[in-house]
Amino acid sequence: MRLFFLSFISFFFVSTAVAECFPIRRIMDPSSRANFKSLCQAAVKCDPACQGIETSKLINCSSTQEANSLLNTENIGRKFLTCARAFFVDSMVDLANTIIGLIKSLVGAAVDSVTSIVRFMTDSDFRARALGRGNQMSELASAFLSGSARNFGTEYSKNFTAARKRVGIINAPLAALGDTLVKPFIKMVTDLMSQIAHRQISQFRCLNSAAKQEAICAMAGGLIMPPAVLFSLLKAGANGVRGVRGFEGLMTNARQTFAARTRPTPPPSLTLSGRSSTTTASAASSTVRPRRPAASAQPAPSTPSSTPTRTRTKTPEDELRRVGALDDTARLTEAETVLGRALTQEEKKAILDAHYIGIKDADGNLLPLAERRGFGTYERADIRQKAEQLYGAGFSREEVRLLMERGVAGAPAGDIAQIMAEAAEASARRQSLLAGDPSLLKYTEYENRRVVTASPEIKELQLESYTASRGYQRVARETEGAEAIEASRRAIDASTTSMDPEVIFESVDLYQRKGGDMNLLVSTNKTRLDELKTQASQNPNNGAIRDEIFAREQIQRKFGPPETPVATPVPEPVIVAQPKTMFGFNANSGEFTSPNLRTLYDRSILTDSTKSRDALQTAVNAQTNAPLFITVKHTLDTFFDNGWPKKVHTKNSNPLLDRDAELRSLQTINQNFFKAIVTNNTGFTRSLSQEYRDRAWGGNYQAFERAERNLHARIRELGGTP
Amino acid sequence: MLITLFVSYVHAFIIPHRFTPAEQFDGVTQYQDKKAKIDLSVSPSKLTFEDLTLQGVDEASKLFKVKAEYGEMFGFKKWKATRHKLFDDPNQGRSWVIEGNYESLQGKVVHFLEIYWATPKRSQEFLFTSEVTAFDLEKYTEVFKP
Repeated sequence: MRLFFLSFISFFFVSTAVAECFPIRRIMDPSSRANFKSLCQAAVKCDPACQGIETSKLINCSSTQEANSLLNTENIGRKFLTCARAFFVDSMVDLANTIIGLIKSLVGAAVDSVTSIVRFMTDSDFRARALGRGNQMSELASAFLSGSARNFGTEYSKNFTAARKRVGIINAPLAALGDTLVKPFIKMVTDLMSQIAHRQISQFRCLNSAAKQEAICAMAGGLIMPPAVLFSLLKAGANGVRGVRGFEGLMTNARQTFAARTRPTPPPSLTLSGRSSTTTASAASSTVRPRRPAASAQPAPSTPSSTPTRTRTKTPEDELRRVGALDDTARLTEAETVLGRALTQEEKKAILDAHYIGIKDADGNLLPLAERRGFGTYERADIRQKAEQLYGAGFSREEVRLLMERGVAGAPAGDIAQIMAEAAEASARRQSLLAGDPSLLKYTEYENRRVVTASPEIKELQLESYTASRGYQRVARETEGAEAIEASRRAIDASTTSMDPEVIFESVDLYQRKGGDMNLLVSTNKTRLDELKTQASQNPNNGAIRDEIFAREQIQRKFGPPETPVATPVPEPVIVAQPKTMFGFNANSGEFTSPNLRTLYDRSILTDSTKSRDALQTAVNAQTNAPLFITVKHTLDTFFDNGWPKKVHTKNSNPLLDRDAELRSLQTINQNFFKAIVTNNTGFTRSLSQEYRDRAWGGNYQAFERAERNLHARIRELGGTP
Repeated sequence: MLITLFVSYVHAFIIPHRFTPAEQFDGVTQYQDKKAKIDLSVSPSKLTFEDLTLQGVDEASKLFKVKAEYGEMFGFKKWKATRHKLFDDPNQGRSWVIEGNYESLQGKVVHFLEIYWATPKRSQEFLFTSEVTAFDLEKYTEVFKP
């Protein structure tokens, strides 16, 4: 057994070390319920974004919680608030004064339209002239507008005193903000932080908790303090900030703070085919003899796959491959990091054009795989053309050299061929798991702990399926005709055991776009689905069959003919603004005033929602948060077990039985609780889930979010739509 | 020493002593009259005696709608000035007094009296608020005694 375990581990490391680098967020979908620690280790090792991170700042996947945090987007906003709390407490009135100062400048300068505000933020001459006019505002008018800070201070003071009693001194500062700056400012900033973390700073997910916090705090300071950025946030939201001059530079600096202090030696760059010596941008004017292109795309010098270990050091070739394989967005981000400055649109276009030399023909069409050129197979003309492209966009000689040395303007040779091989390898492994002992492919339940978990074989199957599907997708995207259709068909097959709806739908979409026969796909899928259901009735514990049924039902539902509508047992949500039954809550404790009301509420959540709707509406409109928080906590305690819906654990000795009843029950809770329609005190009608997300924080927030996520995951597992 | 400090404090304090200190934020000092349920925010001002003129008041009053609009970002909705007036007293300096009300986050109506005050030697800004009673601009000296 131990031998088996060791071989499994070593195989896992070997296979993941050479696996395609895929976005962690995809495989870390909570619905996959995979072994997060193993996935985390594989992803950190494989993900290009993690390659340049300083070791002491890199996540080490030591706990499931840490591994899980890789994909938890909400953590970013929370970390930002944790970091910003001290800033807000110390500078609340200063903050208001800063904003008011800007308002005064703009009002005085007649900068009152969105267009002029954008111009104010981005045009230094216009700003100087406007501020010059703004300074002509009289002192009295200026003092009058400054008075807003006193109003704010007065209201904040009252809120703070009330919040301190309600939520304690630690959370009071932010709770006291209420609707003052939370809506227009903090929410925008937290949203912005999430966007930055996910879209602009791909390395963020690779950081450990301490480094993540440090990075967030550094960015928060950089984002909040410059008045231009602050005002842009207030007036135009997160998107407005993108237009502010200097923002990209700030991001570039932030990215660089994560990276390893000692960067690897520049790798051998754009090498000509068959040459072992390196040739850089200056080669464009050198006397190197041109060579014929390789007859077929040769794989780039790759890491020996036979000796991957967790401590393997990154070679310059690895770095070159990593950069060469980046997608367009990541490539431009890498270019900004390498150059240490923001790029103009013209420069960005030039970099991408240079990158595609050797990959696309003169008309912009992808070259056949065999004709593509990359590191090691570039012709001299390719390098010259790349250099000219970059010079033409205004890059300096040093910058062109850097971009080409680091592989930003190039691509690995034989990249697609290698991905194809890796996808095939993962697919073969998937097939061998499916052909193996079916009793190993199951979901396990620990009765005493009431926890449902997947067997290691199921987790491995999901991972291999995901890897294979993504690999074939990439091949399908970069090829045409029958080759593309075949690759996308393979991607669909592999995706059916990935438990990832996103990868399933993307595969089918790709098949469709590449000219695949959708009628054939749908009919084949239907036939296969019927077979699987028959098999499932004979072998209900087989998790692989269950996964595939889930996937094929998703395909059927989305791409198949519409089903005959069936009367749904789930009650339709009724929009109600005011409660019909006035539920009594103790204002201080937040508890129901009588046990009978609590019983009414509990019954209603599972049935017609009449009473629960009134109770939730009353709690939402209460003067304090206590009734809402306590009611939510009571609901979670009653209907959830450690974040999972209780029904799963109490009736799951045979998960395939009674699925319909369980699904109905879970959808009812979802409709009557998370999606219950409430109208808050500011007049907004929205779901309880949305309302609670804006009002809760800390443990309350996390428990709610976990329960909702798990409930939705379970509903999806059962074939329903949350 | 303490007596000296107390005396100078009494002379420097131009609001009735029923106002006691409350929360203090950077730049804004809060006071409360607990019995009358009036809150007071005091902050220093860059205003000079010469700034407080009819022309200045005329210009500043054009910004009422600006304050109403941007006030929503700071927790006071529907800010509205009902009356405003410039008082000029050779002994007490000049005071621009604004009377009005707004809506707090809790949806309560808050009455306010905003005073910009300056003498040739010093200047300050005061904001009196109450959820209980409205202020009367003409009787501003009941809460403010320069």
